[in-house]
Amino acid sequence: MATEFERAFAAEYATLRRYLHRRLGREAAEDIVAETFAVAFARWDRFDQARPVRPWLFGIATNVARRHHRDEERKLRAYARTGVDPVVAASDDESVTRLDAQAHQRLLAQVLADLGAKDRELLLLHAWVDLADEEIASALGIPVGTVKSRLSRLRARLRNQIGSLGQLEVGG
Amino acid sequence: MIEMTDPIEVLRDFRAEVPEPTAAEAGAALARLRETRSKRRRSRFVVVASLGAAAAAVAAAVVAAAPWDGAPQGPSATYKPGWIAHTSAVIHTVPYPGAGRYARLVEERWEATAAPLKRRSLGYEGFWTEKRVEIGAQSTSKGSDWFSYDPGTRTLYERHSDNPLTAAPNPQAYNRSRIESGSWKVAATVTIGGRKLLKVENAVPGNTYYLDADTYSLARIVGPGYPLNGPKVTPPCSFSGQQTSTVIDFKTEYLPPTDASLSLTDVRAQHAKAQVKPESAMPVGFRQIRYPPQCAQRPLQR
Repeated sequence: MATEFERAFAAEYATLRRYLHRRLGREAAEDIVAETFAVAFARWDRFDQARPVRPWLFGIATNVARRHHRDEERKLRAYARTGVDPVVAASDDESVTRLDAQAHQRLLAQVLADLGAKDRELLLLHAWVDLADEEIASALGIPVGTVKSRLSRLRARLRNQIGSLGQLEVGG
Repeated sequence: MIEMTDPIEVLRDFRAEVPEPTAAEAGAALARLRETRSKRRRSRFVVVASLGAAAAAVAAAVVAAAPWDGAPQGPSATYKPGWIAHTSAVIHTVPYPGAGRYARLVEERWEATAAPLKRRSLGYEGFWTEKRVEIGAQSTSKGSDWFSYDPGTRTLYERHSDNPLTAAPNPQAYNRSRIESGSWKVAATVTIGGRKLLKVENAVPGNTYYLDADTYSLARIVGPGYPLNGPKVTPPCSFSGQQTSTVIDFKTEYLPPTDASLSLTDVRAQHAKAQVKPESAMPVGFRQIRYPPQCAQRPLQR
């Protein structure tokens, strides 16, 4: 058991930490990852090791992170409003070049903040972790068909909301 | 009209600058987990031994995945003469806008790659003014300091941030990683001016990037531009000005870390006799860099 857990930790730690950092900031990510692996370790005996580890771990992490949904939304709205991202220290950068891209980021922050928490976590598992539909379904405990239909709906919504990203550069 | 095949792709780069954890951070995480586990009723020896091995495995994995530091590695990473190691240098980026002057990406920039981190930029201030501005930042023991320079009054406006300045990524390695991860798709390989370039169409929506096929350095951006001093975005957040396709060529070079080149990264050194005031004293309108507040909450109306 110990050897397999070592492998899971080594294989997934960096991906999981970075994903949660992008969502909630470094401090919260560290706490959530620690709790996720603690829970995983406690449940390791019951885990069917024929299954892939990543969706299982991200499922645990998603449950742990749900208590942070309001904080996540608050930070996204702050970013959209002020242009300063509380999650990323580098957002202090006010260079002209990066401002050109910053307008995009602020709009994306607004779009993400406006999503429901469950839609946001599904979308980010797809976009940031590259989980397949089946893996997302496993992580979130929902049918694969639901994942597909929600992703389709989210695509349509995003296309409508951020389709003018190029135009947005006007506001730099 | 901007066409996007999959709008979710746009999200992939959101906060992409967040780094993967370092080996030290992974080790610290393991230490916390080990401490947690040791409080349980399991065999302490087994858990510690297990997690100690995991720490070594994670450290090895993180080291193996460490960012490419600029040293030549393999045939796809051939450097041009003049490129030097990313560490202890100054990255100098020079844009060459095409005909006309357009309000985007026209910024010359100097950036130190090693501590003490500093950077300085000269460019036009977004889409709001034709004013040429100079801005800079530098790391401090308690975070970072940020400066805007007003040549009219020879004043540096300063503000402090608790956030540390982050080191500049290796621009070539960054571009290369975007392509190798599949985040940026190479649409074609083209030759422009005798130079072999990779055409990337999904780096920023509505823009086409051209990267040097050998070094991955940014060579050209073709995208929408807006005449300086032209129409502005105003409530109700619409833009009626003419959008023009703009070609901007780039030169990126590393300068050796001499006193002279390092001083180019230092806005205070460049204006040693300037008076320094807090940013709160900056005149209203000096830097109109953001949307009107009511426009920041929603996409622009076409």
